[in-house]
Amino acid sequence: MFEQILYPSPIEAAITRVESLIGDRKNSIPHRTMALLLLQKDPSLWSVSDSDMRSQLKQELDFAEIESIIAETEAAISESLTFAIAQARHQLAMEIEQDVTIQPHQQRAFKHEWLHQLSVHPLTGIPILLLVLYFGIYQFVGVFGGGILVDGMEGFFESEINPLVNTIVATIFPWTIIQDLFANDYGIITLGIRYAVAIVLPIVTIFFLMFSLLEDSGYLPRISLLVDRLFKTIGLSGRSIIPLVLGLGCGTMATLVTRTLESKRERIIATLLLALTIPCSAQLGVILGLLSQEPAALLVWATVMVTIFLGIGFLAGKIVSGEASCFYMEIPPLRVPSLNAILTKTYVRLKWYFWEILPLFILASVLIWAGKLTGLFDFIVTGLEPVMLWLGLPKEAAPTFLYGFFRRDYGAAGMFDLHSSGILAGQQLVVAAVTLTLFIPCIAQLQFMFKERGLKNTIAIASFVVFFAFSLGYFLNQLLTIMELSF
Amino acid sequence: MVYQSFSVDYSPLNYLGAKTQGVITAIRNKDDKIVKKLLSMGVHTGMHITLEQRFPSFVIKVGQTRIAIDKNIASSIKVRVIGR
Amino acid sequence: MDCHDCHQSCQPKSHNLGGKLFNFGSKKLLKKNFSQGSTTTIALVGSPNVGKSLLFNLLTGTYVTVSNYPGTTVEIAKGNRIIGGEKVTFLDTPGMYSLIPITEEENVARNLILNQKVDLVIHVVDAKHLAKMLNLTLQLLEAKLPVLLVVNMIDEAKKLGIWVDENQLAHRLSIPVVSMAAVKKVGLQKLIAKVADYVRANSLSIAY
Ligand SMILES: Nc1nc2c(ncn2[C@@H]2O[C@H](COP(=O)(O)OP(=O)(O)OP(=O)(O)O)[C@@H](O)[C@H]2O)c(=O)[nH]1
Ligand SMILES: [Mg+2]
Repeated sequence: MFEQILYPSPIEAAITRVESLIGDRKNSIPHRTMALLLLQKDPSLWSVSDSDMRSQLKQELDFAEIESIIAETEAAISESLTFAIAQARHQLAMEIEQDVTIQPHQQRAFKHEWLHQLSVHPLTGIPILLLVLYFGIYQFVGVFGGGILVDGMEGFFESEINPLVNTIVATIFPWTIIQDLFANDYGIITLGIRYAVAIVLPIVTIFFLMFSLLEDSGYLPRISLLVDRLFKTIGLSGRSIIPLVLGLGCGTMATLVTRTLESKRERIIATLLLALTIPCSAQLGVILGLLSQEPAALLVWATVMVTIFLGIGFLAGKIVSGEASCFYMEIPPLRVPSLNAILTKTYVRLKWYFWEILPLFILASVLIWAGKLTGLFDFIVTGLEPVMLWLGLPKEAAPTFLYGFFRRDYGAAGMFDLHSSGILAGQQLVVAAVTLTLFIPCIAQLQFMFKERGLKNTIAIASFVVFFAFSLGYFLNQLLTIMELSF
Repeated sequence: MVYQSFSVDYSPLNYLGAKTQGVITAIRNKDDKIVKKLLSMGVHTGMHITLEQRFPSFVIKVGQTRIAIDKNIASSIKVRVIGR
Repeated sequence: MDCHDCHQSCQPKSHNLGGKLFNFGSKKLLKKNFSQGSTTTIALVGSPNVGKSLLFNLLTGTYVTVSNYPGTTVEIAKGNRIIGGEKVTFLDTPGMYSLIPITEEENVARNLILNQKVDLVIHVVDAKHLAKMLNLTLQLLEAKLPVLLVVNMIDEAKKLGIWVDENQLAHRLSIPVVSMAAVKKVGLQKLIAKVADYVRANSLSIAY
């Protein structure tokens, strides 16, 4: 059997004393381990919040006594206990490593070492980052995915599939009511499935492909070290770049990933920024695709979004209480991604995403259909119309905002539709793009926010987001009108 | 480096220039969590350390491990400089 | 970072599972939950980014996200494989540097191995940083957990001129050790054989 690590005698004495405090309580964790954890001030044993660990012993333990044991021992060894314990273990680990490995005389480096140096040196790293963003996000996701692919698929649907579906449905069902459920303007196939397959899917596929590439190469940790200083000013740390970039793909997944962030404060700020300022890939793709034809509009949208991201982040950093975030990140070696791994990963994510959205998109079509039948849809849309006018948008934009409540990507697809039918243009397109990007996270994201951050935070964040989105839309519209910018 | 002059053999890492090499003499921070984190990532006293870069973040290499840290964490690593 | 992790572990049907990780009263239930119909539960633990999820995928034939940065996995995922004639349940865990957790997801892994009953802990380490990684191995052994050590990434270690003698390491620690290059499936058969040994011994000890 493996012999125990023997710590310096003052520490061993302390362990024995704590062990006797624990007494003969029955639990699955050996007393020596429990004593060591207590001496190292294990957070979940010491904290008030309930946890598995604590319920094993907390109530009856004399924590004051342990405190004094720690203090006495630290005085005796004139070092922090945590430190001394770790050091003893480390010493043994080093000995074992020495005994069982052959190390090179001279430290060698990987072949890609130069690439690492280029990617993190500020002079080369930042331009490389901008290039990656420009080609990865703008050209690949926006122009190629949101523009070319969506136009193609969407055109195909509009010209081939929809008319076919309309005819078939019309021959099967003589009643307009049933026809409208499946076909025509708001049908399950002609709207729900078309949105999911022709608009959302191509963009999301492209995004996930690109994101997998970033993940597997090991570039993400390098971005995080480049942006840490900037992110510190908005109450985050470089580590948050990973959920935020993922949020560009799907805010729902990203909200789950905020778990990896160090402090509660960081997690709340990141969740807020994800809900408010980070468009999901469908939105991003549609917006970039639409606005790329009008560079001035794109510039306004991008400037507004970046300003809000930094501004709200800065304010949130001031307002949300908690300790300042610290940043540490192990930088793994750059690795050549394997094509197989990337395709598998993209496929698995897409499958998840698609099955997540498809039922919702179909449900939305059904709801709209039922809403139209009962007049409820028109009622809500009529209610929203003044808001649209307030934002300077045509009243036909109201349904799109209603979709947006349901799913972000659904709203984005609606915007694409409005633009192609010539209803949204110029200034209105910019205002709609900004408001829709800021506007409410979709239902799935809310659900995850609730799960990860709790009810109070979710309500606070969601109501702030709605209020802020519409106010900002209003002011942006006024501002653009005053400045007489034309797109 | 100007600031090295006052304590050549015992400097917080954040006072050292890029490419400095040294041996870690102590790890101290008022936040206990940071010390624990560094220890568990394999940063211990007595180990050889290279400060690869200091902007935009500090990048250190300890053994085969490369870690990016911010200034606060860097300041908690005290180093005896052995060369550049 | 996982759509599909989340597919597996936060869908409504297993939703209570995630919740239960955080409250102790349900230990028995959880154990049942994790290992329905199988006799052996094995957790894969270790520092972030050492290849736990990749190994999990190889072992169970399912897919959880693998990517090249620390902190990919945030939730426990489970999968099965028949080994030694028995259904063995494997659990993939979020990376943890030490037994004292600092982030939320480190806590998840720690609570799993200390508070739920797992039959075997496979500690996956990176051959390039053996000393650093052994730290956690020593902690696991200190906690009297049954440990099998996987020394992964020997392909990369080799490129850096580092060689690990697995027999000597096994001897030093008195635990089974397998060296692997999971991306190339090197060592996989050996690992499965070692697990089979364990399963057999385990079922014998239960029978008598
Ligand atoms: N060269 C090499 N790379 C490997 C090996 N095993 C895993 N990797 C790579 O290491 C990276 C991390 O693998 P993961 O399986 O995600 O690691 P993990 O331990 O689950 O990480 P966390 O979930 O962050 O704790 C991926 O890029 C893998 O492709 C190996 O044996 N050799
Ligand atoms: Mg993993």
